[in-house]
Amino acid sequence: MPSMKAIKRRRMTVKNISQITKAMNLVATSKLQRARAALAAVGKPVQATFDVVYNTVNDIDPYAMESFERPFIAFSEENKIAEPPARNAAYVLITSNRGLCGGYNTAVCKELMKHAKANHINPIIIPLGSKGRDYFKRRGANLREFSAFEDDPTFADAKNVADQLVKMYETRNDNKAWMIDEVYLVYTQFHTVLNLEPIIRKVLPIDPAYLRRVVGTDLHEDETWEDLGFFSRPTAKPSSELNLNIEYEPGIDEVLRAVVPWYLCMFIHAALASSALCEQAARMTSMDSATKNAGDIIENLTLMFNRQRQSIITQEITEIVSGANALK
Amino acid sequence: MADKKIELRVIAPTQATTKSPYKYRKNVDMVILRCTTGELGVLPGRVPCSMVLDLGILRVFDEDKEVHMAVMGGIAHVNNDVVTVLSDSAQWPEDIKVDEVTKTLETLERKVSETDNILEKSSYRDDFRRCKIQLELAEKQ
Repeated sequence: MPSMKAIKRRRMTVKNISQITKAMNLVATSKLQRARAALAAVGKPVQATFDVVYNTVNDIDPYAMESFERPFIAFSEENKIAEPPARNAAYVLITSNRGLCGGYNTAVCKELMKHAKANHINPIIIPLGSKGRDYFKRRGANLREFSAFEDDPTFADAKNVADQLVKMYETRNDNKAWMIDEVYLVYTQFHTVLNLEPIIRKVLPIDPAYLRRVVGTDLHEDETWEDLGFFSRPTAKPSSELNLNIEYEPGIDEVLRAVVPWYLCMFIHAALASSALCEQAARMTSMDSATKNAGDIIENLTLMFNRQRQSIITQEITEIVSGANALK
Repeated sequence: MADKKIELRVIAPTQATTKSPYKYRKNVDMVILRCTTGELGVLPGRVPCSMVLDLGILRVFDEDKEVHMAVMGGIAHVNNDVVTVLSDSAQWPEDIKVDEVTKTLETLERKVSETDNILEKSSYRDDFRRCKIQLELAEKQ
């Protein structure tokens, strides 16, 4: 049994910690509101970009892509053109810079590990946020760092990442093979404060079939556009027919070269905003439960303290009584 | 002019606010976009088109009035009488601070005159053009 002094000291420590967690909970709550507004502000531009990308990409003739050295578009399923067998992948991992947010960071990192193990050998990991970087550094992964990333993600941050990704996508490595064949974005999608879902989404090469599913045609069974990881519903009208009337100014190659970075940039920007919101939500709930747990510990310690005080009093009374009896 | 109009939406994500994501959104008669290959006018009923924008001035015609906006690159798309312009930066003439732009232009000119490196000189090209376009737009007002 610890001494009364030790219990008192312990109770004090727990109380101090609970004050900190309570304050962090309040801070996270107010930051959550701000992050929610930031995500909402991203919604419309993302929607507009998506519409443009969808309309541009949807009507591209699959055979027109064959002449490109490095196509940004890969037709899956219905219009399949032979896929290159070996696939080097890059994962853009969005985590937070700070801890104390429950399982938020580990959840995305684990999701990435699982996906990478099943599909790729030694993929390149591009961490945005120091927690993810440290996680994979410890495991000796093939890391590539772009730049330090702030807590409040801006459009410029996303643009920087998108530009470098495109550059990497167009670079050959020493073996004359492409450095990366696929780019995945790993982030956390916000459903409710208690329901945060780590998501892996392929962003390069662009798959027109995926875009069509987002717009609402060719949706798989039991699938909604929210499951596809889009942030606000695109307004583009789905059309099942190929519209060969579309014009590209100056040419299809130049247009794709301009459109693809925008698509990446918007996607990353929205994912950053969504992840920032999730971070605050995760911190809020974990700090809330930490405060509750601290309260429980304080209660137990108080009980222990009182019991011990009582046992000392009882002991003293017994001693006095037995002393008095001895004098009789 | 014609009864039919086109909807112009200009989105500059860096300047988007929580209130409105659009820098400009209006039904207009005609839009003239500055593409990399030259100017391209868009009237109602145009076939769908995706284009790459150059640094330049976007001209909007509506009911005999003409308004101008500096659009610094980006992409544009026309579909179903909706013109969507996505750009890093879109400015009205009143957004431009002439003093600052003139100062930047002077700094750029000094930098160019100080260096003999051709590559470095050409790296200032876009900044140069950006300043020139901003000044041109401010003068037009």
